[in-house]
Amino acid sequence: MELAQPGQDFLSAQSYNAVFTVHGVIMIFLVVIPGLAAVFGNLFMPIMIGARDVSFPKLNLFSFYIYMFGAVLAVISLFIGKGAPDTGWTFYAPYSTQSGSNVIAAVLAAFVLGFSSILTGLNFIVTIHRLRAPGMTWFKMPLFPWSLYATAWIQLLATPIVGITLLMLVAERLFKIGFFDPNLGGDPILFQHLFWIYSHPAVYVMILPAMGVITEIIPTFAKRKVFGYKAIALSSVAIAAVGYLVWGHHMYTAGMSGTARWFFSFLTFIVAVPSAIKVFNWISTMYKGSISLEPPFYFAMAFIFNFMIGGLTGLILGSLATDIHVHDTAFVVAHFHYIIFGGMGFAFLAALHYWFPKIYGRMYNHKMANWSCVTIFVGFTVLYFPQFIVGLQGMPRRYFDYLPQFQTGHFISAIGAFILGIGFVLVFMNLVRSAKTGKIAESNPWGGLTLEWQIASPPTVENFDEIPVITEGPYEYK
Amino acid sequence: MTMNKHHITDYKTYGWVLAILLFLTALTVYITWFDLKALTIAAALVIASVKVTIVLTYFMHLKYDSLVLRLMVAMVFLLIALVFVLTFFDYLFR
Repeated sequence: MELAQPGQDFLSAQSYNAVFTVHGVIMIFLVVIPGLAAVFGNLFMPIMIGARDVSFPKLNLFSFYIYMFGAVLAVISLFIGKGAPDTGWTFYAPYSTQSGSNVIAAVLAAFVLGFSSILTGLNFIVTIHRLRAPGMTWFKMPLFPWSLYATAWIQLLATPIVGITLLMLVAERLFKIGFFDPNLGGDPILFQHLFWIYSHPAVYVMILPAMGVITEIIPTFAKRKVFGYKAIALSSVAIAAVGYLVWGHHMYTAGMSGTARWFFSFLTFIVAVPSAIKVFNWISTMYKGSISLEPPFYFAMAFIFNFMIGGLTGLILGSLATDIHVHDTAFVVAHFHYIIFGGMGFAFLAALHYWFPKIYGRMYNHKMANWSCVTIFVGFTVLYFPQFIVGLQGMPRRYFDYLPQFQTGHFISAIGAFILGIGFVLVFMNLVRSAKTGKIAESNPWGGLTLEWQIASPPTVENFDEIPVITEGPYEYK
Repeated sequence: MTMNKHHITDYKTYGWVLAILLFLTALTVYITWFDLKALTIAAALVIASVKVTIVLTYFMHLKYDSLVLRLMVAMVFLLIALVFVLTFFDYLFR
């Protein structure tokens, strides 16, 4: 709304900086990183592998408490001290070491939330290794747990790096230890290295479970065995592994060496391969399928469409020459939101509509769900697609004001934001009402074959009366 | 891997491990007297890696653990090594 027209409308420049920082911190650390993995992972991963619970239930609860503590700290950081942080969610040094705003509390919130992530990752790895049902070999395991397994390794190995980085930042602010500030003998690019060594793999923490959800939904609604099961399973692991090594593509214009730049660009193009494998396999799974057009399937289709736009524009940013032109412009904002919102956000909604009858034992209104999907898709596209165009025209990101030539794009985006908001109101109304008064759902309304559809809705305590014995793969549709 | 496996390492082995760790700690300090230029950090990291490997192998009993666990640890080492190498593609060629 602030950017719908040039000049100051609702916010001051300082408030605008605070708002986009807080938006980033809350959405990244509190919503999209734990969103799919923690919510649907905790609910469904144990059931899908035939376990009664995760390996360490108390550790899981502890992880939840830590998350709540971190969340409260993040919210408090907005109101205490000298104003909400204004550094952007990336906390780039040296500005973050000097800003008078409340950086330390926000950084500590991210630090605390990291512990929650690590514990969940550890729990999931152990659970998948140790508690799979008898007969469920690695390649008989459903693909959502596979994606969570790859995600868990990233959570476990990458999160400590951002933890120590944020502590180094606090140490520099409080004790003037020169890690990042050149005036103190530090190197600001070191902060970017350390920050992105975590934060790029964190993007895969967000998107890998989303891919896992889509891989569950498509065979269920196409009534087809997943095409290239092993390729999808292993591509999750490949994305996790290679995704760990591409962080430098956030730093092409930061002053990194030329050698490092071309190496990171090369690796970035490599990571596109396993992502593309998944997309091709999803489409191949649908080929000659008996597709039933239900709300989760619509959300999944919107995911694939958005994810492809997000992925292909990522190659423009991953390429050294083109990145120089669009770096730090609205193009990056559009690309990022196409992956995170168009990808993870739509997958979250798909998962919510897919597993809703299993969670609540009730069914929502399909017609309203379909309309909410269309409204959100239209709102999302109208909001973010113009950002690609104004970005290519040269509109920098995170700017409070802009030149008149960028107004059309911004105005269209503002309209999209309203449509998107209406879409979310529809989802909220439909699901909240249905959770209370919706029609009682069958235990397997979509005709799925994975284990969660073979038990009662909602699942009983400890999921299974008797642990099932697995004799065939998870998607053997006849 | 069965739960009732116990491995008792004799004091002599622990003694040797301790001696090697102390020697490598002294070596870490000693090499700071020399200007190894680009290899300064690499040398420190190689020594530290050897120390960590010894601790994991003997003190943390990785030697007696299953192949899967040993492979997991090896993969993590490899990953961290790659992260260092990539970071130094920047620092060494800047």
